[in-house]
Amino acid sequence: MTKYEDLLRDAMSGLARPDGLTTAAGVAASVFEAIRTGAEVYVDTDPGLFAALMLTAAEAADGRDALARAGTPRPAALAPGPPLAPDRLAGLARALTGLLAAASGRADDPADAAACERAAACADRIHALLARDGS
Amino acid sequence: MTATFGEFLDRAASCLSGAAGVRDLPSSTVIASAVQLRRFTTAVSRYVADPRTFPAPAEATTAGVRLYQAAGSLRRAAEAGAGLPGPGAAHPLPQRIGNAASALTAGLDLLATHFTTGNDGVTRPRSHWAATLATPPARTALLAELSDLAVLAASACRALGQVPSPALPRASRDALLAASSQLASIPPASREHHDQRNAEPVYRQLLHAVPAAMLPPREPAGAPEGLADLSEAVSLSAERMRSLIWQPPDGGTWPPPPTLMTWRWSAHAAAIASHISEPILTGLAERARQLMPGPAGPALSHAAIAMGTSWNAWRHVASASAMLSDTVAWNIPPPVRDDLTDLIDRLGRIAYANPAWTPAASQRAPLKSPAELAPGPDELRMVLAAVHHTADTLTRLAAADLAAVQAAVGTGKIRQDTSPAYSSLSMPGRVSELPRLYELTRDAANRVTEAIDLPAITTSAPSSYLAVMRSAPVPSQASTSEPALDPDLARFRVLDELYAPRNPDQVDRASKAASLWRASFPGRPMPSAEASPARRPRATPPQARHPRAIP
Repeated sequence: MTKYEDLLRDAMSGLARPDGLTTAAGVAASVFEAIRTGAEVYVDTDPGLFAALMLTAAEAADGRDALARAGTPRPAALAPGPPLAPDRLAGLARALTGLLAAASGRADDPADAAACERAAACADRIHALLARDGS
Repeated sequence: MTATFGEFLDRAASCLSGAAGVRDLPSSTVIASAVQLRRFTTAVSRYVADPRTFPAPAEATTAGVRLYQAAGSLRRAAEAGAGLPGPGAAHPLPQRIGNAASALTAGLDLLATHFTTGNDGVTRPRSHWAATLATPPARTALLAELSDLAVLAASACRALGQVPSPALPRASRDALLAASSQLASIPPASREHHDQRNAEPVYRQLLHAVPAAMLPPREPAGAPEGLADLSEAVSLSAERMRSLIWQPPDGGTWPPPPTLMTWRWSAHAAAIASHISEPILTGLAERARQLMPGPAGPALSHAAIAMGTSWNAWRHVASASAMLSDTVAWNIPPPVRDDLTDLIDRLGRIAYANPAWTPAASQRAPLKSPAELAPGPDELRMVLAAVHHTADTLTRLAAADLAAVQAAVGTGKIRQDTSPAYSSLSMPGRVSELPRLYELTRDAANRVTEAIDLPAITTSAPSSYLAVMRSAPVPSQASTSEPALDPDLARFRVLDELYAPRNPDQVDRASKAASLWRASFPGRPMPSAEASPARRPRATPPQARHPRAIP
């Protein structure tokens, strides 16, 4: 279990709290950034994964920015961790998709909900790109 | 894939070649064929009458005169044999000749879609093909194509004039043979320079590849395809992107307002497409040395090295732009995203031993061996064309994005995000560096495409014409504002001045008409006001651009 998986789990369980949405958005933005940096760091290690990791980096940047543009849930400050290896990114992306889908359902502001949906779609595509079994 | 100009040329040639081989026909069918050959001559004359399609006034004048004479001869042939009993136009031959005429008319309509004439009478480009089509070598090649068709029509006239049918009037025979001589003497444009002669096949290939100036429908990658289909689909995606990227010389909006996300995604995708292309070029280099000894192998090796530099540049610019954001939030997807996705999927299926390859990790596969990549020379050309189209399009994309980045950075529309989530990523100076990174990326992409041009031409790859397309001068703002009247509009204006109802300022009208004519058609006699009423212009400007003056 990585630091980011812990954070995602905590954010999911705290969504019902008053600041739950803001916390979730901050965690999600940081996880996207961790995925992006992980993809960039490891993109040279395996030519067969170059395309998957480059598109992962692009989707992660888009997902992160989608959250940064939301109306009320502003990403919180989180210290970045070490780069994540590609084999960890798919699972992280799946957990991220779940958190953002739940956050979208709880958002009162349509702009926040839309931002979470867009970010969830990015996370879902990252999972599809990196899942070894294609599921 | 949508129809190309070459398909119309080929159809016309195919229809006419059958007519040249006739040995016997009912005389009424000979006359019906003469009528259709006159239609064909009229169709060719419409190309000739348009100064934009001709390389020089001398050839235009000569060809125009010969076509005028041939049309007159064919009219006399038809009139002399009018009313002959028999199957006439019910025979398949006149229909086939008529199809040739229709194909040529449709071809000219296709070419016309690449230009537009404004209310000010100025002709402007409407597509990325326009600049190349207007170059003298392209016009020379077009005249050569028309000259070839005229020779076929001449053969048909001669064959028709020699059928043994005793019912065919002597006057019709003589007129058909006269038309044959007139059509056969239409000169191709002079090729004064050695380079021009050498380049003609490439320009002919270019003409054959010209599609209508409209966005062809997208063909997403789906079920596994054969190599020919993959290569064709890559060229389709590339053509779609060229159309989407192109902007008229007097302004445009590329990319649309969602700036940073557009460039960022494109840069990542371009890095992938280039990354896939590098081992393809390496494999082709090895294969070319085995299959086509000559300069292609070393040139492809050089191109592969350049491609390696290029994908690194794209990757660098993608990484740099991932740390920036727009000052205004936009959520519109990049306009070329789908096409870049299609292109990457197909390129991957060409490069990797997985016919269902996608960028997903679950679809990873080993690279094909050079022999699997290009089993023979034909396959080598197809694969090379796919990479050539890719490189050419990415070069245009880099140039367009550079211009947009420069504008956005210059007006402060991009920032280094300083929100807490990005604080640890702060890298001062990145915004100002972005245009320079894009310049390097554009230059690297350009070097790749130039490196592929040579092997594409030497191996006669179907993408060779891309080399001459990129070398066409880009019309400047100044050139588009020159008083280059659209020929049809000019004719209309002149004739309108002559034929419009008289009023007190008719002297000024005549003077103005003469001035317009001289400006539009220097050296050509102005039509007289006493011309046949049938040739009077309509009350409104012609919508079609083709002149109708033919006997």
